[in-house]
Amino acid sequence: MRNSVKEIALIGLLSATITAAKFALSFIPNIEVVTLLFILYTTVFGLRPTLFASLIFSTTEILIYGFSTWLIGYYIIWPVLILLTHFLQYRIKSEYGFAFLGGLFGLLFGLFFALVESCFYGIFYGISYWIKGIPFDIIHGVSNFIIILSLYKPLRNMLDNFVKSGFLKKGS
Amino acid sequence: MDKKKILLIVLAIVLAGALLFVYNKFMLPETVEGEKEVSIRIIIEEEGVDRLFTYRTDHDYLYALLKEKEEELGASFEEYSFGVMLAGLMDYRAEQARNEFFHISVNGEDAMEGIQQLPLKDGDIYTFKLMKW
Repeated sequence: MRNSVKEIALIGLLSATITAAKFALSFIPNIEVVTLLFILYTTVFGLRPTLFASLIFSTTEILIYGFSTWLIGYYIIWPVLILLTHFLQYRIKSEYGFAFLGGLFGLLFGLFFALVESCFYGIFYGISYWIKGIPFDIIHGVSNFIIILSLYKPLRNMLDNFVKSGFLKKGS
Repeated sequence: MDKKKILLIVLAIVLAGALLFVYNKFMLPETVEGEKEVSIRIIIEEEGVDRLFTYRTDHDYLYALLKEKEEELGASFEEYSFGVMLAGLMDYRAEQARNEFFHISVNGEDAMEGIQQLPLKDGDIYTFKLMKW
């Protein structure tokens, strides 16, 4: 499916669903399904289309919210999650492992962005940014864990059925 | 959903509650009760602004004082999911497009918290200086 129209369409679908899902839950601070979707899409559709979808998602965020330094982090952190999922999926045998991965990712989310902010505003601002965001990281990590534990398996089954029926195809 | 998952979800919620309790108890800076005298210095070199305001206040945190004196200080704020950020002072808004922001220091030392977490302490001088990254 490399460079095919189908892959381009799939990338469009993936990025659109992620953007819509993020937007739908944006009124609740740090509770999101983006992490779940990136993990799910990586395991179902593969590395390449999901990586492209993450780039489109990050760019769309800039178009919606305007440019900000924290958005630079999006171009790094989501691909990192996708790569981690891709390489760990052969070791992780159930949704429990992915829930743990998503939970840890949420807990460390603020720390990563604090590092990015430090590059622009200095180390003290970065430390302040991280400390201030710890309650949000806790909520983010725990909610990711619960969401992935509850939704990964049913969504995975649904997407696998779509793939089996030929409605959607796996990427490379 | 099986019992194992429900148990794990309950455990995760309890863990979150415990972690938030520890954060609020030990990681937030202590506030000082009662009236205190504090100063707010605003420096915007490009505009030739260097003003010092002194207030007596019962507020616990800097944000509450800034909000109360919003008009006099020409302050404006932006709300994000992670909290409130100071956007402008003396009716001058820090332009993100020009990489501007208000650097906060307390008695000359870089602030380790944002305006919502900075506790007001008697005699402290809070300096806001427009800077570029």
